[in-house]
Amino acid sequence: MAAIERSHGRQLRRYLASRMRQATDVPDLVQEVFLRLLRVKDPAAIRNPQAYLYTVASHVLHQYMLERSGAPEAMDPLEVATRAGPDPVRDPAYEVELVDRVEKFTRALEQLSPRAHAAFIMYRCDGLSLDQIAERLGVSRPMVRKYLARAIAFCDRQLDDAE
Amino acid sequence: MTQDKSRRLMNEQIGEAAADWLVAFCEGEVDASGREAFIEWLRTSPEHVRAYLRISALWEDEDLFARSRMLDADALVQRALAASNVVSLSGSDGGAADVGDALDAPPPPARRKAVPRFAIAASVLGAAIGIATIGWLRIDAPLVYETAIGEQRTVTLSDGSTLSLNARSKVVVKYDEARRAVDLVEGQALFKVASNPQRPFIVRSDSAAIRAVGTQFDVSRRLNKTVVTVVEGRVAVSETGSRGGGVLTPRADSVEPPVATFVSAGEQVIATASEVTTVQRADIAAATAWTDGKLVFRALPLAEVIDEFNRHTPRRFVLEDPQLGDIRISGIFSFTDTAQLTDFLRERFGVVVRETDGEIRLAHR
Repeated sequence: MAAIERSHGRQLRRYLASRMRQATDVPDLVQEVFLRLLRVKDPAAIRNPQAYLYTVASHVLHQYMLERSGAPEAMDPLEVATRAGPDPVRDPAYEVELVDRVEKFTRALEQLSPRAHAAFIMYRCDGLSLDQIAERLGVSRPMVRKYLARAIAFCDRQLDDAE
Repeated sequence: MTQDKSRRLMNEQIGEAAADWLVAFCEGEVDASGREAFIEWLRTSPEHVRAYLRISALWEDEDLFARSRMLDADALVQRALAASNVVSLSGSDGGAADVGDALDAPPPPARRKAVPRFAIAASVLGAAIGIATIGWLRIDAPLVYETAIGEQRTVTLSDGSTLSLNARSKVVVKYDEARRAVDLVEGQALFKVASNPQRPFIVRSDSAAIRAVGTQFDVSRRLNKTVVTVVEGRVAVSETGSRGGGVLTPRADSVEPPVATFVSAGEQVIATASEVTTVQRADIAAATAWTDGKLVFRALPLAEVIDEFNRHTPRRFVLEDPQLGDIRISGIFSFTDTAQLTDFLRERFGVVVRETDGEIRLAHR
């Protein structure tokens, strides 16, 4: 997303994150993204697989929303663009869901081991490198990666309503 | 190992693999062969796709990180070092077991302050006994305050207390020397009670009696229940026992039933005719959002959402399909803006909306 952020700014990034989350709430959508990935003939040609995945997911979700709202398939492209305007804050549910996530996330962080917690926050929020974190915690660099993977996955599970 | 458990373990592994890919991308470690391996990993299972999308969404959730209260890095490192001095004897090889142990470490003690409930109970009960012996000398004529659809008003009562009435609500105020009684006949009101321990303030609905001395709280009378949310101070809530009551008969001699639930600031209870639920943490901003012209719903059934909207809009929402009433709605809505709700229902739930002059009809597609 780094490249996307540079070109479109923070708002789009926030919008995409919100879209990703919505897409994963509907099993059929995840399935559809998966199938589209399977159909890719030459995976080696994909230069930025992260961005590719986000784009596919975004399209699938957009398609789904259009069908839901009962809008005609062929829409004015301009209207499509404005309807998908990058402003999740206009979504009435956004704030309530955010409060909910903050609560779950705060609780999840508290349940992490102190070292996993410290590694996660230093890496994500303070921008420290893996080596810097390793040094401060007095552990090896591979260990920091283990902490990170565990911490991120744990917080994600705690945030997942489906669990 | 149960199936649930093995499934959970597998999900954990997938989540960690996804997180590891994310870190690898952050570190710029993923080269051409790495990119191929990543795509292949995604193409292995929809579960992988879901895990990676979710973890990316978490990672990019700027608002989440901005809003969550975090300890700063120094404090976290200190805590980590202090903890590792105690537990890491077995972790010298840095194996996975160490991470597991560390993750399973008991959470830090809860930050919530313990409320001295005993002291509260004693003081409120003391006040209750006080009135019973004083009795009353003079009864003011009851005052009725009522609001229409879409109307809200705030009234200052003779003792300096104020009550804000939500739309389509009605209260009857009956003050006497011994007590300040207010019957909530319909709707919702926010009370700011002027302190007077000698003259308790009592709000009654069909299902609950709420006793306060000096405090601020919101009472919302719904279909078969009354929701009490305390903004400031404490109140005692008891069920009234008057079953299915429409009109409230003032039971002037009644000392409230001795079994009361004490509710403190930031807490909420729901009272039905037969019971008062256990005290829950409340979202105060949500419970009182109506005073700012907003409605905040948290997984509320659409039937109740519509009931709430109909309080404020002259055009009535009608459910053509009763089943639709079960959809759970979360969101912040302005109650002057019905289009916001209809757009939301259309986009999120595929609800069909038909608007006429007097009604907004909702149906399944």
